Amino acid sequence: MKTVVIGILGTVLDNRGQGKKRWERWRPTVSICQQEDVLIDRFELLLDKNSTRLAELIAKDIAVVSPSTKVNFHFIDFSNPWDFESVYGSLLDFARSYTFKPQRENYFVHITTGTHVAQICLYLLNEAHYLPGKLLQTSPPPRDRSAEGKYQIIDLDLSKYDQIASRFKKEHQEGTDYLKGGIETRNKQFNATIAQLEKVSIKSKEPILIMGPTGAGKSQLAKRVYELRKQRGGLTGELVEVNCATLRGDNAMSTLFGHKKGSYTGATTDRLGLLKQADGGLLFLDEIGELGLDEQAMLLHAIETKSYMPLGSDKPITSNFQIIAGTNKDLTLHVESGEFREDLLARIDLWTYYLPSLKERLEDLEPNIDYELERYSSKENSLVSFNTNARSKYLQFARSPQASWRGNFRDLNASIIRMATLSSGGRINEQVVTEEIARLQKKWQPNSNTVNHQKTQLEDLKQLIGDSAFEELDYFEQAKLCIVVDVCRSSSNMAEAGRILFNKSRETKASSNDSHRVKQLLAKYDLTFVQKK
Amino acid sequence: MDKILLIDGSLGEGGGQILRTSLTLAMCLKIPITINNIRAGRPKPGLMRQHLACIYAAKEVCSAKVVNAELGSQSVTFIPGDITAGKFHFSVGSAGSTTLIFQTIFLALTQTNEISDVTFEGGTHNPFAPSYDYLIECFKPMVEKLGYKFDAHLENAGYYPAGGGLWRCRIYPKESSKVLSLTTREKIKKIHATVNISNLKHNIFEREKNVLKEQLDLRDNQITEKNLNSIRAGNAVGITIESGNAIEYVESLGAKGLAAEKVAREVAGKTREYIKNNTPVGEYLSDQLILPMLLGNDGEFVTSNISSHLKTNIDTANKVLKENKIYSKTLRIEQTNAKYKIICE
Repeated sequence: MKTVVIGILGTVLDNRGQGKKRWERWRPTVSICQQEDVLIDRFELLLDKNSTRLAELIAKDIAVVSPSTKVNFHFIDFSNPWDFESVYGSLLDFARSYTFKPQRENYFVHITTGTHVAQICLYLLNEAHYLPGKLLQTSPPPRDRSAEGKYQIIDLDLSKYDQIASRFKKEHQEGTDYLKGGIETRNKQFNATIAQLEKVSIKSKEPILIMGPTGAGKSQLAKRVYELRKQRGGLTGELVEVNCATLRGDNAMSTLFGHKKGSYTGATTDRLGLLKQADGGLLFLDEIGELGLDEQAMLLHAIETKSYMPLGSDKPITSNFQIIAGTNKDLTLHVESGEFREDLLARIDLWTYYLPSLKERLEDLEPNIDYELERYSSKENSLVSFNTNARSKYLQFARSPQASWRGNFRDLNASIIRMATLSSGGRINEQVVTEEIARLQKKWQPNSNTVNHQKTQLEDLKQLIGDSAFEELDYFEQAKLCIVVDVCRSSSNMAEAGRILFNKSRETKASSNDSHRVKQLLAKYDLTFVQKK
Repeated sequence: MDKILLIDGSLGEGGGQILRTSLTLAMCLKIPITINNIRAGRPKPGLMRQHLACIYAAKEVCSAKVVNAELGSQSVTFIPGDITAGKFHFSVGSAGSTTLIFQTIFLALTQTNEISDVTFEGGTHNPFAPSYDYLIECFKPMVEKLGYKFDAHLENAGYYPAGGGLWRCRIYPKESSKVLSLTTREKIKKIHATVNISNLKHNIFEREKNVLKEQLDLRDNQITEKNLNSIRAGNAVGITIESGNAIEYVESLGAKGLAAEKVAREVAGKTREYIKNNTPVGEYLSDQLILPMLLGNDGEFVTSNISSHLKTNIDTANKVLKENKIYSKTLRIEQTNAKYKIICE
């Protein structure tokens, strides 16, 4: 490991004249290189170009006291050394442009020289891990007896500094776009949805229904709507979250609506229930499609009248709660099959939003990766980032058809946390990415269900093109055709299907008539595109 | 490969001396060694920069293999190769003492058949090491009696803590060794004081001269002022005491805030003590004579005090000798009255 010091040239403390007397005075920058128990391999000296002469003298004197130390000059604009913004900016620029090799080098950030503003900036940059390593502080010797003085090392990674760190984090998070969690999403449809939801959240107290596959972020969104309504919509109560799939039998009723002591076996005390708990607040019912019919009736009544009867009670209690429901199922189908009450759906289906899966908005993959990294960084108080190659490798895989993102943002979150944890020195390298891709591929491996699914698909195809035509095809071609059929069925027109099927080859074509290519492809097997209903 | 000899670095005073003695013996006897517990129990334990400088110099002189030579390391392994004479250049930072590096490699280079030219950069006048003047005034004439020879020339003095000193020396192959015998001190023939001044006013010399004259009854012509080149201010006062069969050099370093008179009084006190003790070998020379005697043709000397440095040196040497098949020598101490005779046989 090499030892590298990053420090600002002290135009006052390091400047003790050109004469020989300078050796009797304490000069912080030189003193670091005079310590018996520290050997500095490299000194990155930050200076304004007006101080070049002083820097040259300091470098010369460092060569005397520490012949093996290499001194590099970095010219930084310190034209206004007391201006916080410009000093921070200049130092941040340096930190970003400098190639740190934390695996091979130990860094010490010297904070004794420079203006107080510069020292604070160095501290902040170190704390935020833009300048890695530990802080180094030098102090003069007593009565100037020996000019090398003393030094102290401060490691901000130690837990005693966590308090300072978390305070900084809080400030930093303010002012971010709440509903998107500050993620700069690019998907137009999603952005429009969120923009409207934001308005609705503030102006309306009516129920909101959020649809979308598991892991798409329904629960996250509900939390943010709650925060927003609390801040701007006068919500005073708490957010009560429940997954309806976990509510079964007597317990379901009692969990939601409460009970009187003795209303059923096991009801040994009074229970208030979640609806009462959400009084003045917000109730988030996830997977509302899983709720039993009795509970649905009760819930509808409670939404409409703001009052209901707890189990075993003969007195109604009131609760003024707002409601957000989440589902990953098409509730209209459940209504048709009699599993979901039509009147309840009508009541909650006022503001309905569909949260697309990650696969459906791959353009948001990158901002979400950044978001997850930042979230991890601020939670762990340590900046984590990809190196360039690792990032492009991960993105390439993440956008590829192989990446199913079955668990949506939950999968992405877990994936980033794994990589961030395995990163060394805050850098996710190619090796970590390679291992992570292998993990994800294993996780998304088609299980036996998908094998069965394939069999059904093949049977389906056989019916579609006829037995004889089917038998003539290679197995490999059958599988290919299955995909074509599958894509066509889920696309609203041929152009859309073409974009998915020819996603690579169309990029290299100057003009690509996607629908024509789909038509030709289908014609080969005597098939025609049927518009989705 | 030979068995590696384990040396407990916390023995005796447990400082850098045990490291340097071990390195010299390892080089000269070609024994691989591991030194453990280096500077154990100190506020900053393990190897410091000046120790690393010694290890690297030793490594270069005998093409050794070195394991764990790092700052703060408490265990280092040194596997010596063949000593090769030649041109060397050793720079030691943070005013680390160049004389201690010299001490580590000097005997090794005398074991070859050729002349070596060595340049040293760093400190020459440090508080916790013999100065360059000491090497020239005392160590040089004393080891010459045993057949070891070197010449040296100082270009710049390097005062602690800036360093920046520069000197060159030529080390000659050892001549046929003589048996050392310094059991009594003959009559004192000459006392001479040297006042080294770098970048300081002349009146420092005057003030020190006045004290020396008064305290040691010296005449003007027994006190010389030397102006040494240096990158910073510095002052060192040394007194050479020459008797019929031995030479001693005692010295004191000036420091910022320390009155010139005090520096002179201190060195005068050391002079009187040496004269009073009536032994040929002083405290510092005693530990530096051990190895030349051992690697030469044996002998004995008498000194007035067994310092912890000396004791450590003797113990370390005995430990190495015990493990070594070529040498069947030991060092022992005989006490008579207030005097100690160190015998090597």
